[in-house]
Amino acid sequence: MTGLVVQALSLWLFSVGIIGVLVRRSPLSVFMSIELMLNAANLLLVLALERHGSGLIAMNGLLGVLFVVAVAGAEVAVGLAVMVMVFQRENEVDLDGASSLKG
Amino acid sequence: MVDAMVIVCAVVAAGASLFVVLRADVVHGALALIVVFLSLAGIYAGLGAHFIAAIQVVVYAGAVMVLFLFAIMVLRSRRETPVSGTPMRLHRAGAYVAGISMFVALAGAARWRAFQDESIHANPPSLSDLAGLLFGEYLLSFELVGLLLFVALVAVVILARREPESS
Repeated sequence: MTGLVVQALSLWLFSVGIIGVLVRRSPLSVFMSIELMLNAANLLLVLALERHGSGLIAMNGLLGVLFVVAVAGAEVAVGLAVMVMVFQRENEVDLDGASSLKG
Repeated sequence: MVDAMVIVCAVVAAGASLFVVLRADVVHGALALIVVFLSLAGIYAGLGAHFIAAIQVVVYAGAVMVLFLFAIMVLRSRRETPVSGTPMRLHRAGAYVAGISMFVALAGAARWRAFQDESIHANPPSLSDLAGLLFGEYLLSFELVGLLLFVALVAVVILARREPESS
């Protein structure tokens, strides 16, 4: 029962994240939706380890989750800095305004 | 008892994730995202991954959300400028269709039987075992992640500072 609920929650978070990335125009909201999708993947990984991983497999997988979290943290920091830089340059926060890079 | 906690946390996370995506106010979205992260930490704890639960609270609900709130403060953009018109409405409808069909496709492809049975190991891996593995076999990866975070820090400082001489 719990396994089903958690698996459904993972799929739900991923789909909601996709909707958020497509619908929102504020780059901050898009970033939050990406975080939702990353967390959905982590959740499914932890569930799979809890149900099917034994001993060493579970430990290796948990450390993988730890590394994913660390890299996601670095990604958030760099992404938000890029956002601040774009804002200082263009004085425009919406993603529609940041189109001057297109060829 | 633990099962009930996991289910309650799952329901809370599902509802709060809708808030993150649908609220027009970015600050409300950020607060709802904190709720999502905390309930995910509760689920991790219920699944026996106590270390990951602690990491989730400290890194996501703590550090990442502080970064988000700082960025909202610097950008001074709580609301996105409203855009109306047929193209926008079409775009929005297309996004919802894409998300819902994604959910349906994932639910159809998922092996729902795989997680039905109970956990195969009664006691989850202990923290000292995890630490032994992390600082033994994965020491190089651990150091590389530290280096990655340091490089990201330097990059952020260089990206976000204002050039004093130009303009």
